[in-house]
Amino acid sequence: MVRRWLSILLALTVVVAGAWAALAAITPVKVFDPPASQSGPYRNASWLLYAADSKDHPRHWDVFARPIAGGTPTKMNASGTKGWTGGFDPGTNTAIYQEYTSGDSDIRFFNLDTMTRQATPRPLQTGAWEFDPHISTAYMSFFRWQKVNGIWYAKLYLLDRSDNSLTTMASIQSQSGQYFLSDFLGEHYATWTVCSKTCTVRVYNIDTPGVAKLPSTSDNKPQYGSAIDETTASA
Amino acid sequence: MKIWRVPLADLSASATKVASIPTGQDVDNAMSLDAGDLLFGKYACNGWAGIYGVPGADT
Repeated sequence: MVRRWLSILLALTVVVAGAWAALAAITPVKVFDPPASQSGPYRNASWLLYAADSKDHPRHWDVFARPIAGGTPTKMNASGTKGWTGGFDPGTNTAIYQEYTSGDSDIRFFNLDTMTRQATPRPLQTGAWEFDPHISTAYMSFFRWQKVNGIWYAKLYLLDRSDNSLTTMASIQSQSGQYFLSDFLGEHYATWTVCSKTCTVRVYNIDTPGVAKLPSTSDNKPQYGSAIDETTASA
Repeated sequence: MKIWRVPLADLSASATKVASIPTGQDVDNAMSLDAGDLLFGKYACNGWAGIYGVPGADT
């Protein structure tokens, strides 16, 4: 399936590169769609990372990595836990993911070269509920539930991997009726979705710290699921 | 359901439509970009999802 995807991808890339001036919309192509559900995908040169459930246990998500060239998927989260994807440490075969049970949620690393879990930076070694991780070469991002003066907040942190320092990019009260979804982390930008009556996307500039809101689209629909191409600086 | 692109240098610019998802299907709440190829989970009406992509989404 993935080989087929790559063939289609190469063909379409050539077509799109030549025809993009017309700004024609293109229909997504299937990458990997066996029975049950697969979502939260990330890819590097060797692996496709994704979360999957099963028909016997819908919405029990586990994290898997499958070789791009095909082969048996590797399950990353420990037995008795659930998981969700967070991406690849750039230039490596180490994935970051969320591993959780009913009482705890932690951020984990899994090295696909050695097929072992690896320790995460010290700021992540807490008893707090941490979730929705992302990673770039220089940074990590994640949510952490924290209680301040009796009120719970979901805080979106940026962790500088050079010194393990933490910066709060966003914070939301649990009673506000809003919720956040962390979308993307790169070397220069992070994005997340804010939802209440509708959903909009925020962009955090890491180099000159500040938050901006993405503009509405011409159809004025809710926005979510953002990603940044840092080469072209486009969302 | 549509996927859009907008330049960060000019957030007042109009967004450009990159891809359309057929009516009755939905994109999960996270997407990823790798070498310009967009990947995401796509839900169908029956509630099951699979992984789909838009090659060359950054071009």
